[in-house]
Amino acid sequence: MPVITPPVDAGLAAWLKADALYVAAADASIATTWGTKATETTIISPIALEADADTEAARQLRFFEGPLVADQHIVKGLRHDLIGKLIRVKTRAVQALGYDTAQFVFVIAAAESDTSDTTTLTVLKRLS
Amino acid sequence: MSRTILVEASPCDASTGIVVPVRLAGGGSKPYTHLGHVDWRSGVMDLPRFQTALGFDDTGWTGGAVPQSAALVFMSGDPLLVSDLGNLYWKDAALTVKVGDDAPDAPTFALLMTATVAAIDVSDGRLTLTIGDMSVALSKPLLSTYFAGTGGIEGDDNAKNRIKRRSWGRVFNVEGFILDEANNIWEFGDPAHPLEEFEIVRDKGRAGDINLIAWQGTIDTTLAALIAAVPPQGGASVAPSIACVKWWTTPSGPLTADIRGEIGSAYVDRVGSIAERIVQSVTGPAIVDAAGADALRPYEVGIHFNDDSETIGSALDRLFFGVSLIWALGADGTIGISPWSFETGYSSPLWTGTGSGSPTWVYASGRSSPVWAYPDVDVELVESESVSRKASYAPMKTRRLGYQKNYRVQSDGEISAAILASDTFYPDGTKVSDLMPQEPAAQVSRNIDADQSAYAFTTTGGVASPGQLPFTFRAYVTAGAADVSILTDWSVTTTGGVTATINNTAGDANRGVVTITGITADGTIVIHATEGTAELQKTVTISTKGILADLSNVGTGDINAGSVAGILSYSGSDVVTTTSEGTIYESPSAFAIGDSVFGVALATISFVHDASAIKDAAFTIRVYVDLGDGAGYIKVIEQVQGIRANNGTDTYLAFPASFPIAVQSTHPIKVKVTQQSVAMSGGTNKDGIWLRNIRLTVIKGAR
Repeated sequence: MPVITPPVDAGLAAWLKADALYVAAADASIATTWGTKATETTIISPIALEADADTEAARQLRFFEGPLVADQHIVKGLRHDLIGKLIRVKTRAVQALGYDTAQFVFVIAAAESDTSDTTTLTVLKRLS
Repeated sequence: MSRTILVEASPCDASTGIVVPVRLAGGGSKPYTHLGHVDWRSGVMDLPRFQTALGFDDTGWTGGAVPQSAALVFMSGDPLLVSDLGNLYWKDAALTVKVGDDAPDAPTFALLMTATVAAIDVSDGRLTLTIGDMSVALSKPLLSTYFAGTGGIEGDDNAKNRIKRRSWGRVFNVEGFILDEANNIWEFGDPAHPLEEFEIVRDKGRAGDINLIAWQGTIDTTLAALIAAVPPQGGASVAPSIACVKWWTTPSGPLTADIRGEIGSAYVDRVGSIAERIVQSVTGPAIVDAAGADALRPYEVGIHFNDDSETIGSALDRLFFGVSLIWALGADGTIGISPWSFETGYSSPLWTGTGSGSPTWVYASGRSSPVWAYPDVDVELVESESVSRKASYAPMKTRRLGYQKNYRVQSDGEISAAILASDTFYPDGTKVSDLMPQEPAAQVSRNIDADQSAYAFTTTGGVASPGQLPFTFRAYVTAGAADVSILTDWSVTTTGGVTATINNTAGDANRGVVTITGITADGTIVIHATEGTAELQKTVTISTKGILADLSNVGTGDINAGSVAGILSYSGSDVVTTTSEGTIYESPSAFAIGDSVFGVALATISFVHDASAIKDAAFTIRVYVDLGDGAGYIKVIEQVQGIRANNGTDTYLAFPASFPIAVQSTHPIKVKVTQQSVAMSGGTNKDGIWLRNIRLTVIKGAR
């Protein structure tokens, strides 16, 4: 049958039916080590171009590949300013969850004490 | 160092509603004469305490950070002062807290908090100010204006109370909504906020050409220009300056567009700059370092807003989390942006500070490879008093990241399928497939269809009887009643099968080139005519029985009898007949007689036979024709001619004779004529007879 206009390109049609185009960053060593315990997550970004998405997916995987733990530290001072920052934390005590040497952590919560000039920081840290 | 706390608040007089500036102070070692004021009241007990947290779970970030503050307590030795302050109207009063060291001669005070007062409590000589929810500034809806539906750029009834959408940066497949149904105008955003560009406009996924309607000085005049515009066939006229589009016809499905968003002071498509535009659009909190965020994530991004319940906070979540940035509202009322990363050093611009020592390789937590950094300066070292573990998060093996977000997910039925000729109709109901075959790049002819009826070939005129051919017919193309001088004479002649020629030498000088472009076995002859830039394609169907009424496709004025197309003539030498059959004449080669529909030729052989030297003599004349069909010569005439004389003497007789034959063939033919002496009845003489004045004439295309 003569065709006046071909159908919409298959790739375009697939995108029109999806909520976005996707790229994936994968860490084979994590998959090997952790198997089904390891997670696969998805997020939609405001990025327009595939190359940028590739870069960003790899960056996000490096942060999350972990495993991560959430630790709470009590530090001196009123330090809610540390929220959302990468800091190094070191404890005086030895064998304190690995903090006897300074560890890079990411601060996800800060609660200043009502009764003393101290702040409880909740931080993300790579476990391994 | 002596920490000084300064609180400035703006409660109102309870009877007049007039703002009463109140300045409270605490700490320090000097008289309170700071910030150009001397009316500071001493008694602030301590700094306010804050709690703040980012949303985080197994899948990643779930929300930015908004601080919450504990109460601010003021206690004075003067109970009357506390009482007077308590009599002011404090609810929603603006309040700032600053802190600094008053030891220097010119102390500076940093802004610690900007907030409002939610409630107060006066008891036991204390004034306790409860700080309001600091997320209020981020809870404003981003979209808050609607189309009025009063006509013009406010749209018709279809648009009434529809939210005016906003877009920044590159956004994809945003759906257009009808703004002015009568004029087929579709809006893709708030017309008051010009867009940079409509990159692509699609109807059911099928993109069309775009022509740009420029800004005309005002929204109304630009809309008027768009209404007056004639979009390209299958495409759109677009006016990004008012965020509107006119599609060439009523869209058959979702009308969507890929857009470069709002221009504002200048078009932006980086994450920090877009965040800044978003908060500025609602006079929200300031972004501390938008350019820094742009540099951290130099991606081309975009975001579209179509929900009037979406707040600035959720907008920032959508914008930042996908590009590994986190936002946090500070107590000072500003929004800070930082990357979420465990990595340090040159790979992250945030940590390229100038350390006092030499940069060294350091190991980030959990990393097997060291990174280059100034560990003492770039990343603050905090000493922990105690540590406890609260949660663990599973390792992640795959991160899928969506890009080019599709803002209008379409179903199968909302995506254009192939358009078949059999499914497509002209306005008069004619299927496109009925007019096949088409010719690429063919153009609409000038009214030739309309004139067909005027010059239609009738059955009587269109069907030729054998012997009528050749036909000569004339095709005219006229505009209205006037002949516009495409005049072409065509002669089409067939001989049994289908062959055709075009006589393109006659007619008006303005007629175009006419050629036969194809002849098929079923008798269809495609004739192609051009005139100037116009192209006309005509189909003439000719059968082996004659020209069918389909010739009416061409149209003709009349049919005239044609002329004989050619004569072959042979004059031979005198021949004496022999007892064996001998050739008088044979065509040296085949010749076409296909100059008429039936390919008829009339062959006549004439001669004088002379029996002057003999008596009782006779001979046979045979005429053969090779029809060119592979059967070779076939005999069409065998005629005995004889003389018998009874007077016993030589008799001289001379008889003229001729033998006409009619031949019909689509192939070139050959003719052969032979003689042979025979004995006549009662006689024995088989002597040769002179055949003189031999002449063979073949009339091609005879009728």
